[in-house]
Amino acid sequence: MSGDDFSYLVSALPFLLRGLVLTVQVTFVSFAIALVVGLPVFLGSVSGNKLIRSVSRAYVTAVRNTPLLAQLYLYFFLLASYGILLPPLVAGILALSTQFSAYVAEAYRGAYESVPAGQWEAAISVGLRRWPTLFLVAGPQALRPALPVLANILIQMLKDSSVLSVITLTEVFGATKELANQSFQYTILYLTLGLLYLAVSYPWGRATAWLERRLGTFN
Amino acid sequence: MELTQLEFQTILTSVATTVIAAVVATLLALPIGIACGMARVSRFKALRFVIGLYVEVFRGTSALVQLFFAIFVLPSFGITLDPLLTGTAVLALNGGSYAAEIARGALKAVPIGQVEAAQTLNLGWWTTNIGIVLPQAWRIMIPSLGNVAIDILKATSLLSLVAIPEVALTMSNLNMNGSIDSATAYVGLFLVYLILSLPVVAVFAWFERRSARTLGRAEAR
Amino acid sequence: MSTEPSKGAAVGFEGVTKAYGDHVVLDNLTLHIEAGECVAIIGPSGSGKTTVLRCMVGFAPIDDGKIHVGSATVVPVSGSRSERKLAREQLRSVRSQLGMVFQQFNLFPHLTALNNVTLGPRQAGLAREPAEDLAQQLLSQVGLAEKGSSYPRQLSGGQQQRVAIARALAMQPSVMLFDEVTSALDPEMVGDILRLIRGLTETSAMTILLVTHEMEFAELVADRVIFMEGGVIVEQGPPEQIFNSPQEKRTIQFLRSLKDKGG
Repeated sequence: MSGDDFSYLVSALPFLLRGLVLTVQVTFVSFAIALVVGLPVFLGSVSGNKLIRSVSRAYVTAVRNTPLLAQLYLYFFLLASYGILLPPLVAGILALSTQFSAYVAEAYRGAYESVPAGQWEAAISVGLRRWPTLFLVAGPQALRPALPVLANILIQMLKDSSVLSVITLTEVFGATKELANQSFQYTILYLTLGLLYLAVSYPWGRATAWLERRLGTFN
Repeated sequence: MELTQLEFQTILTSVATTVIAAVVATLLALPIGIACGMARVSRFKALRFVIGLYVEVFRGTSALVQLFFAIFVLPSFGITLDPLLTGTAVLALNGGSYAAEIARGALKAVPIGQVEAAQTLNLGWWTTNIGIVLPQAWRIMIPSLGNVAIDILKATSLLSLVAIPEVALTMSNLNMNGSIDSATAYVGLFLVYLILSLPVVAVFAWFERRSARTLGRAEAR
Repeated sequence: MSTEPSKGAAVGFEGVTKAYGDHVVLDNLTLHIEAGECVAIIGPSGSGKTTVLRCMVGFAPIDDGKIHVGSATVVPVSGSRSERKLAREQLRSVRSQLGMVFQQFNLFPHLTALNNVTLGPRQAGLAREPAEDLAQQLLSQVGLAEKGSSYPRQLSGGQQQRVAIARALAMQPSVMLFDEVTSALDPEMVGDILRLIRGLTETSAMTILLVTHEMEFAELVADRVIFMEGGVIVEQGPPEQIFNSPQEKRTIQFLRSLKDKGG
């Protein structure tokens, strides 16, 4: 890497880092929404009502088996053609959070199923009904192995947020693309981009692995 | 909302491109992943390190970034290939890194007693690892590898962002130039992926049933 | 019960030490077992009795000392590549003289009972037909003649353990190791396995090492009983001595604790 390249990188870095901040913000907001939306989806999947279960399963399948890009197009371009013009940020968060709400719901379900049957039986024997048991007995126990899975989902969302650049959101990937198109400094820029992602995802991944060792996982 | 003959053919061709890219990438990713998983549990430190590097880099960045890197950066190092080939290779390497982690976990999940029994019988490396451990690890891996296959299918949509003519690019182009309306384009695109995912799910469900037939579910009698 | 007569081999432990971190599992153990002898090793959990077997097979590398199995020797793992290579070859030689039956059976679940038994001999160079004949013969001798094409999951625990015994015997070992082989079985199946092992002690010349909790059985078949605790041999001798007139206080305590539990 020559001196020129290095000075270019230094000048480009602030712009890239601003993009990274947006990446992190979008990811965290979408993650929070996914955590919330995932809950009713999960509860639906274990409901006693067959219709509710089917709806939940259909939602999960539809959202998990189709690309984020396709869903993004629906929220951004399709709605726009009906006059509903969502700002890129809103459409991006909407797409990211709905796709991953399905993964979150599956994580909740895995955690729920990892609670031994004996816990439910014990709860019944002391007179606890279904919902209180879920929140007082199963929930707390399921939470521990669920955390590493959720942490993995977060990092996955961070990486997939790069797709949002398609709808002109200048998160870190979009920012890199913009600069690359102007300066043609592809190598420096994309290498830096990769390193930026790794700088976030690698430590997070190690922390998640440590969490997994401490808390156990159920996958 | 009339589609010309040519436009309709373009859509079909682009769907075929999507399918071919997904299938080829998956057929490469799974063996790559299993081999790398085995490398990672081997006793050769250097091998574990090198493969580990590959896995961490490809899992730590998104397929989109890797795609752009391969298409825009590699040419300056003299590596210029057909875009579809490059794209498929990236998807294979990306999927392979996830498969490698899955394989590693599955290999470690096989009870150590199996390896010990094999060692008392002096079965040798190949028979022990390929004949005894791998079949049992495969059984454990199947559901997660099915997810990898689906992810590869979904990732083919990213190829559209580097101008590779798969179905996402075609549909959005046809919408942009007015040939089809947004609903047909984008709902249609959504449905294409949904429909294409069905055989993938079916194939892996079949794998699971087949291996349950011999390995079973450890039912005690 | 015999196939071709397996001659027994002598086993010797010389000052063997094995520790996991600070926890010493085998403490300067010295032991000599004659060819053809049947030795039962008893003791509380954590006494090191299973580790004795595991060190012989090389599942637990020893820190100090030597283990002789017949003509081969197990030594501590050392640094240099050539020494490690030599050690691996010796280990292979040890394993070719040993047969081991595990508490958890460890049958290969994706192979039929027959193939579980033929795998080892075929690896060693035997052709398919003679290997299958041998396996069928052994399966008959353990009482599972018609179960050759069954998969482990279709067999009961006791049946699986019998296949495991046939599998070990197929290698015509000169030393057989039984590691608490009835502990994971339902009570009604334990007797069958013990009868099988007794048959082996009476009709074959193999050296047999038996780690067990089944005291009456040890008394019945063993030439010598070894009581271990805390990684050392506390007392050893003929069964009459150990069970009827134990000399050491700890031995007495251990045997009494078993009786108190109603066992």
